[in-house]
Amino acid sequence: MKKNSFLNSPSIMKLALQYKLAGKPPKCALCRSRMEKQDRPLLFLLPLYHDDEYIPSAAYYNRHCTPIEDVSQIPTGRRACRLWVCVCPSCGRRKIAVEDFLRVRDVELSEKYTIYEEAELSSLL
Amino acid sequence: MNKVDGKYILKWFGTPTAVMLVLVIIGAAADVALLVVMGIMLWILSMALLPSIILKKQLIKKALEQEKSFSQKGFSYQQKFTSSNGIFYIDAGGRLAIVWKYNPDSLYMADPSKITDIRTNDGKTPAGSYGVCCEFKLEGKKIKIWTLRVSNGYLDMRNPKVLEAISKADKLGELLKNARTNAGSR
Ligand SMILES: [Zn+2]
Repeated sequence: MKKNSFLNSPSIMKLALQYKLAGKPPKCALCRSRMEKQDRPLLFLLPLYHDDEYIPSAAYYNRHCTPIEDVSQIPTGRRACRLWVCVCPSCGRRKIAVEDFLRVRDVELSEKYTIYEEAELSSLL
Repeated sequence: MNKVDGKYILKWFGTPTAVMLVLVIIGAAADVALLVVMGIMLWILSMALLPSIILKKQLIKKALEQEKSFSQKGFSYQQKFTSSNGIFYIDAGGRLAIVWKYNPDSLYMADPSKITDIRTNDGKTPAGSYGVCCEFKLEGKKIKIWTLRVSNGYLDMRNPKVLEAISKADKLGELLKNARTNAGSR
């Protein structure tokens, strides 16, 4: 009983999900190979604090991402996100991975991880 | 700084105490042990439920009523923090207003320059965190604003709930430090 409630607690689910995805690049829809993240992701501030909720979408990120250079520019409690260009090693097809995170001191708490077509987020690249 | 209003305490804790005393006295006089036990059980139950449920709800209700008069007092808050001992508001000018849980009918306007020893307490033990709070001293009295309380046991220090709570406490500490700086420069 106690074990179940432990597993069902949202934080554990969140933690598990975080480890499962852990920023993996997507698989290519055409040749099924795992895409590769390119170096140097782009960094943006989000207009969110702590555990604020929202539904991630390309429209949301296009509208609300403010570019920054370095994690040191993230104010305390403010959420930020990284944008990676992922490239298929076999056919060269590209996708964008977005990871929204809360930086707490030196630890990064991954909040949401979503994948988009390159064209959807081209304005941020 | 009156954190506690005696009348308010008497109003809420007095009734169950009086009921308990009546039951115990009648029970003892009539030699009915059940009445004595019932009286004591009811009292223990109400003492346990009053602060955690009923008075917490009262605090939220009373604080909302007080918020309506904030604009008349020239106070518009930017941040609001609910803690186990009260609700804290910080306005754009860096002022700190508090509605205390045991004195919710009055609004306490704190002087931020009297806030000292601001720090985040992450509740770290070898077993994990028992809770996270922002600690500070106001007029020399220690105040804790909890951003997380673990009800039974401990949470791993890397648990997202703990990390989020540390971030909230850090943010609150930063706001209080800013408030203190602003107050000093006024
Ligand atoms: Zn491919």
